[in-house]
Amino acid sequence: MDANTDVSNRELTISRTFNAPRPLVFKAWTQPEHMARWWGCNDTQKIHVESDLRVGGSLRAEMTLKDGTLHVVIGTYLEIDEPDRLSFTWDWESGGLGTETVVTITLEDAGEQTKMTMVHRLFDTREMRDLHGEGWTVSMERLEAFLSEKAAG
Amino acid sequence: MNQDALSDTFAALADPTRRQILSRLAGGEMTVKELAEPFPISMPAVSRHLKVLEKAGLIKRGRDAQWRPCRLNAAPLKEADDWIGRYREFWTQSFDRLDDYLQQIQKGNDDGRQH
Repeated sequence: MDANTDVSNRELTISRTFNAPRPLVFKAWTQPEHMARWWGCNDTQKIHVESDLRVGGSLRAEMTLKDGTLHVVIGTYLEIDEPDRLSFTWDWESGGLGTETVVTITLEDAGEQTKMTMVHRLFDTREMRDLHGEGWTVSMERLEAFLSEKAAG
Repeated sequence: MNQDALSDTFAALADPTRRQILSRLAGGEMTVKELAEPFPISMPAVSRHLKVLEKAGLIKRGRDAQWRPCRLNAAPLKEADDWIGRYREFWTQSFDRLDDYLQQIQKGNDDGRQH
């Protein structure tokens, strides 16, 4: 099976080791003034970031490219565990792709350096997360029912 | 491929059963019955998944009314891979910049301590 047909694991994983302490790398990922200094591709000319760093808080990055076009990424923080782990949704405001993707970053000490692993998953749509939510709700209901039975017995 | 078609591809792929169906079809043509075997779901449920995959152009189905064998059509997957490639490029370029930026700010801090 070649890369084009193996659909079981379609996600992007990139690992990098940075010559910086873990708390600093985490800050670079989470503080708007830091993010604005490095987010974007080589064609990004200007970037403005707004970030409400709390679970459920929103993230917005407006990137202006050299050709003058504006591209806006919007997201929601799912997990914030400073300085180990960060997860947020990622979607383009202009729409079209119809898929809400999820970015998860984990940081580990590597001596004086920090090893970062970023996974950008393309299947974690809002629909799928809602389904997971339903799953948990059902489990909690069953647990409650089980506990009531125990209490009654 | 336009973005709506890419949307259909990702929506179709956003389900583990459908991804498994596609992986199995990568090995060759199969009937609905053969496809349904490893899944703990009914034949109608498998048929519904196949409809989604067919609509997204990820599979093609034979004309034989009784069997209608399914086969993989990998072209939309190639488009999806290209899309992932663009993300890879975006992040790789970002991380190169992050690498430089982390050096810059630490250099600033070190200088600050020295003076």
